[in-house]
Amino acid sequence: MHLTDGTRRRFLSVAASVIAAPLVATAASRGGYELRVLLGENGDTTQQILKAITVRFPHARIADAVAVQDDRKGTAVYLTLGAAALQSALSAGLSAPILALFTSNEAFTRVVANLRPDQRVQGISAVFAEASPLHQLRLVRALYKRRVGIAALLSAGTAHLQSLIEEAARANDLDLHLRLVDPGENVVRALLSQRDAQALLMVPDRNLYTAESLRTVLESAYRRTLGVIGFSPALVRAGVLAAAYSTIDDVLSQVGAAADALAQGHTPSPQYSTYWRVLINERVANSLDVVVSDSDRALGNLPN
Amino acid sequence: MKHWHRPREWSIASRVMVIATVPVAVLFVAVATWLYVSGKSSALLAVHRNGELLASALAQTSQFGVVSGNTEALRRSMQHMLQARTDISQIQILDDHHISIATAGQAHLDKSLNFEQPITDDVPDVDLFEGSAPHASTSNNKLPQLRSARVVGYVRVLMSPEPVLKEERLRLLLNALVLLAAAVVSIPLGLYLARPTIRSPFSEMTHALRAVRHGKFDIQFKSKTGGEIGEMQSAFEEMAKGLSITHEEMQQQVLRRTGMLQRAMERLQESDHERRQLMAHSTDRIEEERRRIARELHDQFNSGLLSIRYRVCSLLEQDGLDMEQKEVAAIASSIINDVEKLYDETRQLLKRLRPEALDTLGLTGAIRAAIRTFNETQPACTVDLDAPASELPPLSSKVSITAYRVVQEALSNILKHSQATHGSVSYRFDSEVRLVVLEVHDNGVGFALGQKSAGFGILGMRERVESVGGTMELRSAPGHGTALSFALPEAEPHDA
Repeated sequence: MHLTDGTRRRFLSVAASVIAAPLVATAASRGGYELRVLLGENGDTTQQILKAITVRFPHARIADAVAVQDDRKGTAVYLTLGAAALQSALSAGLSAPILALFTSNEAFTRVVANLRPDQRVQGISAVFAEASPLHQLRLVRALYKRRVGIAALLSAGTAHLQSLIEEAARANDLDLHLRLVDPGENVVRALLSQRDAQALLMVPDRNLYTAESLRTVLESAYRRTLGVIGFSPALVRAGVLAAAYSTIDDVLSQVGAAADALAQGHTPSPQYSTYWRVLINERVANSLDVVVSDSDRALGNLPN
Repeated sequence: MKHWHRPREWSIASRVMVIATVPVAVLFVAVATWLYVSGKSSALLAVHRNGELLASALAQTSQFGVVSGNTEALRRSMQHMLQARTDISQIQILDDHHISIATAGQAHLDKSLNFEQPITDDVPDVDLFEGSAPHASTSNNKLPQLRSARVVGYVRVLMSPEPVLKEERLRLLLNALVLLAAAVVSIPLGLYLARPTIRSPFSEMTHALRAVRHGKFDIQFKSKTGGEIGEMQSAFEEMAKGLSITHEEMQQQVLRRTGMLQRAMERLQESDHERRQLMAHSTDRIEEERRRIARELHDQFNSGLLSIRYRVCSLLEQDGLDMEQKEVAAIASSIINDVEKLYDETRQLLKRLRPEALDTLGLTGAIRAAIRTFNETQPACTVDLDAPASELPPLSSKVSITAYRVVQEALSNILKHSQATHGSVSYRFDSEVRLVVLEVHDNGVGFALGQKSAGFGILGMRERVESVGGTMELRSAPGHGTALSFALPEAEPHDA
């Protein structure tokens, strides 16, 4: 849902009046730095994230203009919500470290890779929006309960994940059939060429998995009896077999430690959330003769 | 070739046949036409709907084949459809530039109906973490909505209505045969049913009409039925009964009238006979009167004149001067006696020819004199006169003499035939109708009217009264006397 400019301004002014005073008073209590939240595109998802942030970090400052945040004095760590906010923060040449939140690995890598040399910041890290491929492949192993072939399609935007996925396949005792899809190549045809796989690993990749191609990919996978492992509950509702995913709270549970490290001058590597959970499409599982157990449904790592 | 009759001249059987067959034939043609038109229309509509449905369904299912390039699967699906449906002549799958990528079947472009549907790449509204907005797995549990995005190709289905129409024609033919069979069965059935209910009653009625025409009114229908026809039969029977009664009454009336006519003819003949007798009698009377007058002239007048001649001659043969005065006086006296006697006889003769009293005393005086004379000469019977105080108006001579004569004749009849002891004569003038009314009664023996022996007196009176435009009425019965009534005008009609 897109908010109008008027609604957006009213929301921000209310949020600022409610939140700003306690933030100023308690800013020093968070290791002597200020959490500054930068908004990119606003919408329902952003509202849900902001709501969760204000519960978990009541002293964080929220604004949609980088310039306003940067005018403030003192040590700060910027939390960017989404790729657009990250792009804005990087374009603004902020002096404070940035922690990119709710941005996929592919989007974060793309934005950072596109930075000009003069746009480099001192410290930049991320907690990715999706669950780790390792967790996804754990789910595959749990569902199939045996060593099966797992297909993975990567484009140039996600090629850097190859080693991570190979390691995860090995860790979960799965046969990986990884294919790099050339630009302009039909993703469905690329998928149909993976004849030895029983499952398909989906990772966020705007070059391969778009709204336009999703239906065809799912249909092709179904015709080939491939169980698709997605990265969000929305994909499960769209027809994939199962998904390993991290909720907003799962992601935010990891923000405190990463922000503290960045404030202290350490830049942690961009990372997946350590907290994750699964959602299984029982109908698809039934169609693919995949037996789902309660332990499968309870798979994951939930925050305390 | 049988002569064609106009419908109005058809027999009942022909009419029943026409009534039984024409509606069935019209119904058959109408139903067959309707079945053909509606069947053809329905078939074409079904072809249209099937074409649209097939194109739409294929557009939905062909998306994967078009996008993936798996045309073999598409072709298999199309072949299955072609085998399943005979009305599909060709199916084409085209790419987004309308270039064929899969075709099945043969096109009959001149007769085929073309149905084309775009193959759209329906896009689910799912966040694939591809945009610049925050990527997050939210608590939104709504199922993803599909939205049409781009057109990736087209499905073209060429439908041929001919196989469907052929089936429809076959079905129509079967329907028509069934209808025709029903019609063929229904016509004799209708005739069979019409026989006792329509044909027989009407046929009987026709026979009954013919019987009535020939004067046979005893009508009883054998095949009685209900409804309007039954009502008609009952009405016809009642009408025939009524006609029979009327016929008999008319016959009786004709008989009565014929009898009356015969009697009238007889009376006329009788009257004519009487008239002839009366004329003969009148002629006899006239001859008798002439003879009497001649005899009286011969016996009285001639002898008297001869006597007078003789006496006068005797006076001339002798010298009259020599005769004594006494002898001359005696001869003269004898001549005077003879002359006076001749004078009296001449007066009597004239009196019989025309009543003198009528001229001297008038009608009322003459009637009084006649009654007086009757009473003087007939002491056994007394006749009274009932006369009004006022005098009668002046009457013509002929009417006066007629009135006098009929009174004379009536008195004569009383004397001759009635054996009455009392009689009466009355007269009056009815000023309203300008008639003189004379009435003569007696208490005599009377007689039965219509008897031939009524005598010529009555006939003579009637003739005389009618000759001046008057009327006469006679009432009499044996033992009850006789009454005569005369009504006479003041003057006879000019043509009388």
